[in-house]
Amino acid sequence: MTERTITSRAGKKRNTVFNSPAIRKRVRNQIWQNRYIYMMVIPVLVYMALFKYMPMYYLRASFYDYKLLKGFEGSKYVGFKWFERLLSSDELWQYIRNTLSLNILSLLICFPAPLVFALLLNEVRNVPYKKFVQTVSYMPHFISTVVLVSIINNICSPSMGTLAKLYRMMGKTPINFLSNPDYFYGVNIVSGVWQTLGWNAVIYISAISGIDSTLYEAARIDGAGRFQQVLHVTIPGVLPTFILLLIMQIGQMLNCVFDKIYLLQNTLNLQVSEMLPTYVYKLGMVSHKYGQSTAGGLFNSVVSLILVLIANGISKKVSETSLF
Amino acid sequence: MKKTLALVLAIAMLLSVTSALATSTEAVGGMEAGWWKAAEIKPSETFHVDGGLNVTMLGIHYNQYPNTFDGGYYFPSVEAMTGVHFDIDWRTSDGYAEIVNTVLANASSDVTKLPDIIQPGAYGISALVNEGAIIPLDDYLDLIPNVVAAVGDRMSSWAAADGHIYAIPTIVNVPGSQSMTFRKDWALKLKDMGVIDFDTPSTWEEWKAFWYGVRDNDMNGNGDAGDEIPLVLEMGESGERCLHILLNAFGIKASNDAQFCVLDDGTYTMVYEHPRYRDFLTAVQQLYKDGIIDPEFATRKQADMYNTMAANKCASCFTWAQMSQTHTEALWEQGVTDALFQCVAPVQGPFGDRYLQERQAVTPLNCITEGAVARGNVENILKFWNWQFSEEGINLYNYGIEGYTYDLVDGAPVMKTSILQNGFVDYRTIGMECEPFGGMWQTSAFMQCLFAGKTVDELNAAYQSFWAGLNDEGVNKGCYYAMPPTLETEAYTEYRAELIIGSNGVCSLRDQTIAGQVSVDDFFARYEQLKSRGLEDVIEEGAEAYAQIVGE
Repeated sequence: MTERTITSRAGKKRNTVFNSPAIRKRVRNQIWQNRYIYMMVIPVLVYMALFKYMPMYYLRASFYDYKLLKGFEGSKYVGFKWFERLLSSDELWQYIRNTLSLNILSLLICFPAPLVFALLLNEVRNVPYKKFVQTVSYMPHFISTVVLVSIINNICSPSMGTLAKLYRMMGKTPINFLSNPDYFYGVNIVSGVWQTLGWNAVIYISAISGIDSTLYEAARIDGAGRFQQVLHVTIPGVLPTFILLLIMQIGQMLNCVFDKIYLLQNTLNLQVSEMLPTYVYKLGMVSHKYGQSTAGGLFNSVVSLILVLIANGISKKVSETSLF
Repeated sequence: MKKTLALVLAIAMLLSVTSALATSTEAVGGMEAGWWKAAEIKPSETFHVDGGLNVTMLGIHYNQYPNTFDGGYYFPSVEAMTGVHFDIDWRTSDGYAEIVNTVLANASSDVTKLPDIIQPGAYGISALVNEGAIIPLDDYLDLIPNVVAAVGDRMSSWAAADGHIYAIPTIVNVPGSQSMTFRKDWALKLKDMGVIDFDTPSTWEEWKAFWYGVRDNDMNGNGDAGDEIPLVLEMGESGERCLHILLNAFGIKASNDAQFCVLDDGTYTMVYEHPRYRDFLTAVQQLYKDGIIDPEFATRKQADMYNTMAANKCASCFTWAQMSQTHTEALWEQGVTDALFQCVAPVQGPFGDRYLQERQAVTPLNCITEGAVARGNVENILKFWNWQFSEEGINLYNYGIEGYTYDLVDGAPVMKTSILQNGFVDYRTIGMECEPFGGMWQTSAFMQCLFAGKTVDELNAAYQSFWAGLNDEGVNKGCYYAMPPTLETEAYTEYRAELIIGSNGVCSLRDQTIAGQVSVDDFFARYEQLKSRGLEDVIEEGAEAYAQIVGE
């Protein structure tokens, strides 16, 4: 509440001050002096305008039997037909359940793992070893999804894979991890942790390095051991960062790592691997039902927005940390 | 130091870009780059657009047709002979449907932005029709009499489900080129061990004896008796390729996508309606349970299947006959000198059926768009294709340029031996039988390439196996059947994504049943539910459309 008031007051003050020609000139000068910094913002603004805001114009395709070649003028307006069809479909709820199941598992395992890793890494005193571990851990981030899926296939293939060889060496029958729906989430979570752990830990390592060192000194004087310092200084120090990331993660609850899920899908695991984003993609790109596909995407976005608002509200009440 | 490093990196990047743009100028099949420039190609007397015609096209390029050799004669020759210049935007098949989406979206409300010709690829002809992007050719058939004659009585493969013709076809008048193949050396080994009492499996029981024998023994001798796969299966788009050979063994003469068949009474329907489908499903489920069927049948891509062949793990599979030769020779190079992938007649099922899909001879390929209509190009484009299907066009497509790539011997074109020394490889690199563009591929050209100037007796065992697998007089003689088409009716277009290939669709249900996740009885119960949700319409509309096309 305090922060919002300050922001509000600052805004009012700035508006008043901007009326002064001298101040305006000074601001212009400052912008000119830092023009290269401001220029760096331009690509991001262009990107956001082109790929995030302009496509919103086409959201109205969800109310049309949209034909690409005919545009809105030549396509038939169908009202809420696609939304009705979507919401009355048994499959929709199955896809939402699949998406939520994977994301909840991911939230419980993949999301906190980088924090734990960062905390552990922070305790390593051998700097070269620490840097080595950090470098090795975030390298998988740079592997493309297609390559990652190939690696997963090579490891998990029950006929030619590494795991199959190990199983056979132990006299056991190899498990078909990729075609058995029971293992689909497990394969995703394990590979997800492997690929994102190091990279996602960077932000926590940065947050930890920003903690005032006098707090650790004070804790040591008070008799705190290493574990207690972590518990009472480090974790509270990174908690605001963790919560902000958590809120944003909750906004992604109906999304997924599309490429990976899509590439790992097969007819034997589709009952658990078909997610809302892959379904929407197939509706549009495979079945050419552009209106229905847009309706699915819009539904996804609206629910995601609601989830973010709820998570933000809860966080604001509980921890006084929020996105807005 | 940093500047030097930056300079080195910049030069390296520049060189890599330059090399990527460069085309190979090394001679192929004895033909130097740009060889066709020396040929005096005269304008055709039967068709030539005075003043020239520029035709734009969006097409799919396949890997086996290299595009880096600038000795490709075909399009320059076409232009010299007909005055038609093709400006083709070649794309790979991966993600092609998305490219078509983009092209259509770009031409939204302005059809002149469409290329003159679009190959539908995975986007589908019916979807292009639905978008209003392409035109029916029914009213123009008098402009393409050569094409009509070339299609002949194979109209059901040319016409769409609504009875209209939307595309100039590509026609492949060559023998079926896929075959069942098995490790003959392993069969002989099993015979020596007393496990089986035949050299080549033929009947259902013999095949089962061979497969179980492979499963229970260390055939490749690597000390691991469990790493051989008795029957390797390739999934295709949605499981269709892996199931053909087994569906055929049960007398189900399936379509290319393994979804449709024609019953004995001539009714076109989905394969699940076939009276033998339950027997098929029950038997295949048991084979999977027993470890005979590839555990990865639902995920194995073509390249993965070849890997199992080259890795000395595949006991049998259904694939291109040429792969028998390629992988036999690959195993020889690895030191497995007695290895032999022998092409063999299709598996004879428990009811005595033995069938094999005929190679699809007529495939609708090039659709003319509203863009061509807007530019007034339709008639000339069609006249061009009529020329392409004339003797002059067919010779250029199949044999190249007389005196350079072929000679006329007793009035028949005979290709130069230098072009044939690498079989199909140099032939296609030079630009002959440019299948991505389409045309009429002749049996004679195919056979000349296949033999590369040799007789059957002069071929090695691997090549003889290849020959046996594709020759109409070889092991598959009498087994071929004409594939029924997959008719993209309105109901099919509406329900395909959800009820056929969707997560709860019949393909997924079928594979789950084979893998034992669903019982056979449950399969049929859930299939009935899918019928009530729309598959019944797919079946009825398909039957009507087929009857109409066949009737016509």
